[in-house]
Amino acid sequence: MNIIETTDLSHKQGSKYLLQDINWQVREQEHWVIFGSNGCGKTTLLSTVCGYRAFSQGSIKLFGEKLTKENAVALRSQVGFVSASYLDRCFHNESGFDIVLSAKFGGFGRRSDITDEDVIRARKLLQAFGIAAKGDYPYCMLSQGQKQRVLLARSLIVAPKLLILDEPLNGLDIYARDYFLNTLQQIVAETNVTVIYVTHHAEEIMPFFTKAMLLQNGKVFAQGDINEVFSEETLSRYFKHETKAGWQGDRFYIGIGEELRMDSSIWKGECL
Amino acid sequence: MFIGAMANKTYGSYDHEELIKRAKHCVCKRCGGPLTNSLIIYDIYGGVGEELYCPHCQKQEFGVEKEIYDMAEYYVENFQFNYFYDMEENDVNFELNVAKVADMMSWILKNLNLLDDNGLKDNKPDYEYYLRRRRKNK
Ligand SMILES: [Zn+2]
Repeated sequence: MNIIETTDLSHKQGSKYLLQDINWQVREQEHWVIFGSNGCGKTTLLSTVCGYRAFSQGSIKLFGEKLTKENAVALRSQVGFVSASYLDRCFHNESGFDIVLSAKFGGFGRRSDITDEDVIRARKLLQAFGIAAKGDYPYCMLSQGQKQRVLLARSLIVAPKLLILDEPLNGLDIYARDYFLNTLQQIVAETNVTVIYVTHHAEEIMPFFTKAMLLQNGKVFAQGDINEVFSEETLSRYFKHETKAGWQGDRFYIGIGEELRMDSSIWKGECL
Repeated sequence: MFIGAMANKTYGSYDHEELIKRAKHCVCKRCGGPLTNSLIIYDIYGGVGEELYCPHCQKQEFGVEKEIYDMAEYYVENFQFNYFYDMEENDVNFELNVAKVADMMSWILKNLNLLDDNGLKDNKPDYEYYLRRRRKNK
């Protein structure tokens, strides 16, 4: 079964395409990295796939079911979704604890059928992400790293079939980054979860990722097996600069040539 | 995110009627103000849902019974309860403490079978009910 299937998915804002003709199939237990420059449409694609955004053309199937406004809430409750760039606009005065519990219901609020087990799990997750003491604080009073930890805890409150992680390590310190990456590796090894991972940082690409997509201006630039998509040849075409890429131990690296820098006359003030 | 009034429509919410009912007998656990059931537009391009909302606190808020809020407010005000000891003592601190106590009171009353989704009941506390629930949950 395809976990995600988009067919000719497009969305237009005014005359600009935010997404254009996205045909994408994610099979069960495939783990994808989505890579792309700022503003290329990564967050738009993933929040659309989760049913948080409308789209103007095409269709989306989630877990084999066509996504509609009627079933979006129920389907979304099976997805762990971390995206500070999207969710920061949705939460403000809600407590971290309430935000974590809200994922159980596929929305942003609580419902009455919360069991003691849900509460215990939410508190333990907040504790595991080192934020137990701030769990009852309003989201807006937390630092960026603390907010990120709340969102990570939220994504795991129900054992998700699909984990969508949009730059999940933003704002975290080195300890918390490795803690999360190692935890993610264990979740992948021990469950049937499918992971979609958006990052700007090549060193976050772990060996369990087998598929990759490069997005550019809302269009798919390349997609397929990670070694083909992240080949030096494809990445050089994508960045329009000679690019080095490969594995160093169990971490990936991508490096763009040294000639890529600011014209020194600008920072020296010689152009004035 | 945009918050709009509901226009007698359900938008992917499977419990529209329950939310309307709850908004009538519950208040915001932070400020004690009335709740509205609001259409939440997650994004300017679409994606909608429905949540209970406190317009005063500007938060998605499931609420507590008014009686419980009143007791929690009294408790925090008079017995100097402060769970948020590392926070500056101000209105926000007071409201968060009331919300915390209201949550605890709601849990106790639910477990004594004195509170359910319809509100407070007028039966006697049932400690056996709590023990049965606890045994079932183990
Ligand atoms: Zn309020």
